[in-house]
Amino acid sequence: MYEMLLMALPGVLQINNLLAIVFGVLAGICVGAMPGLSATMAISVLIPFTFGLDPLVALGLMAGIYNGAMYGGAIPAVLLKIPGTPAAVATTFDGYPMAQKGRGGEALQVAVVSSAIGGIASALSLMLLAPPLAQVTLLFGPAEMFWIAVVGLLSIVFLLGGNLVKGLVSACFGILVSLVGTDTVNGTDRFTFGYFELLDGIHIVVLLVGLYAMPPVVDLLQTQIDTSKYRYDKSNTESIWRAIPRMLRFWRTWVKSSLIGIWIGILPGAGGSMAAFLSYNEAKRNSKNPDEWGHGEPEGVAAAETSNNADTAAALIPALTLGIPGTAVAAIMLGGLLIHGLQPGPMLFRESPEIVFGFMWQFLFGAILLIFLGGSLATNSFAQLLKLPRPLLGSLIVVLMFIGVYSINERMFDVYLMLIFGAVGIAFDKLKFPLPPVVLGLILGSFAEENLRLSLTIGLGDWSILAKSTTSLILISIVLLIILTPLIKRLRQT
Amino acid sequence: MNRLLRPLTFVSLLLIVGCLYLFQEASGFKAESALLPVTMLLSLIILASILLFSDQGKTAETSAPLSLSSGKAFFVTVGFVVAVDLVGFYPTLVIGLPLIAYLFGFKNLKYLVISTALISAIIFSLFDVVMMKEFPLGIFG
Repeated sequence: MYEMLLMALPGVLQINNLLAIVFGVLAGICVGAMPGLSATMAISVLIPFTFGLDPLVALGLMAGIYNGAMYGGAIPAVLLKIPGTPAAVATTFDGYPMAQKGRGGEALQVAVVSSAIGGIASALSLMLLAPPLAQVTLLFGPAEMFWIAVVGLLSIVFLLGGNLVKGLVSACFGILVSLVGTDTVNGTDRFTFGYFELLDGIHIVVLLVGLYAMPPVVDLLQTQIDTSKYRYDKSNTESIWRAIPRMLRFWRTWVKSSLIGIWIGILPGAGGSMAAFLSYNEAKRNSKNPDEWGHGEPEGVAAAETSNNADTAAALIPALTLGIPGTAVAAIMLGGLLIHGLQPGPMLFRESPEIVFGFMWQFLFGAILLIFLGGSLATNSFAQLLKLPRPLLGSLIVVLMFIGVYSINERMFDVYLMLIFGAVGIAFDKLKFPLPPVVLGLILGSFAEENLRLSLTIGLGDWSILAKSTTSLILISIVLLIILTPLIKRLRQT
Repeated sequence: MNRLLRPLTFVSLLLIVGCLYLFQEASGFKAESALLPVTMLLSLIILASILLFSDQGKTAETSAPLSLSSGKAFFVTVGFVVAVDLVGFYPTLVIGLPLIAYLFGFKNLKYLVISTALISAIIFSLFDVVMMKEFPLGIFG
């Protein structure tokens, strides 16, 4: 399967695909640099605009945004102690003290190089691990695929942490939304209430934009921040290429943090912030001068930034091979694949190898581009974004949300539906119901149902077919492990 | 404060009522089409009841009061969409974009006019001219 990886390369090197990655990385850095905006929101707003585009161009944009945003979050984290994205919290620990000592430029250079290294490692892990995993999963039948969907849903609910009941409510809500529309097996209309617009089901973009874009927009519009108070040093004048040789002393941290980030990325529900915290602590524990940490130690920035970028492409390993995204952004990306008619899962590698392997290359190029784009413009240019008026930005996103959702089918019905999901998103956000299980429920709900019914048809209605093969039994054990581990942990704590 | 107006209680009740209504709808489906919807609805009712009882078990201090702090921005967004439906996309864009920013505290009129003109021009050239999208015309249609 690796030969297909090489065969996909010429397609990615076409000028329009490369430009898409460049634009994506730049846009991602801008989005990440603005506190309150995240890669998840940016990609969910962007997805509808990629409808008419070639799938590789669309995916290049998404890969670029994801890579760029994970680094962009470091800019306000270093300069203002405000993490641009949740994953950049650990970057503030040493980045901000460095900026206060007039070394903000150096901190950002360490951040951009470390982000690029983490991103490269992540892309390589995706290239190495996804193809063999996809080949294994190709052997799965409908019963195994049903259990895979159950594993995916439960793992994101149980491993995400927080309130389990709320997580399960989110997942059930997502599954219920996935069931709206005509049942493709027997033609029954489910929850359509006489609206012909609902016969084809609810478009994933409508849900994504409502859930993920509405809460940040509300926050942007209603949270007043006096940007005139923002102060940051403009000390970075040194070329990034001169600075890199000095950073080579961080190589151990880069390797360890990359591995931690990749591992966390593969685990469903964990995400960049956990990766950054774990790597920071690990690097501090192994440091010769741990007392310096928290007072402006560049290695701390290197550990956090390597790791939060190392989970980007790695989160796509279970997403592309099994249809189980490791993070919220990966879930949104699955939505991006779906709107281009690409069903995530093992068949994707067989049916559209040029797209799936091209996507992997795009992640690699996006990470490499970070050094060129983020490095050369690192401090002052992107830091100016922090001064953009939030209400104007918020009103612009309202317009973009409208255009994006309306453009899907050119009908107002979808826009009103998006508003309903927006209200749900705000309520869930305020009450701390996790959002990724909703998206995963929508993606995996109908997939699980389809495979369950197919299994029952094959087994002539006998439910024991779901536990007949060894793979099914292993997957059932994993399901039990996922459910019981946190419960036992909680019981022990109480 | 009325105990039923606690946000989590309110949302849980809303979920239970909504699920009961959908349950009635699902009872008309063919058996195999109803399997997953009914399972999900029952699960949601049970889970929402757990949330409801746990929230009611909390003291008033630990349960946050119901607030409409996000309401203004959300309803302005709803207003924008309704206005597009009624008077069309471009008139709403030209008036709505600066108005929303102004309402939420950005009062620099010069900046607002320039940015509105620029954004409107970009949207028109990109979506109308290049992508040939047809936006709602409202009463002008």
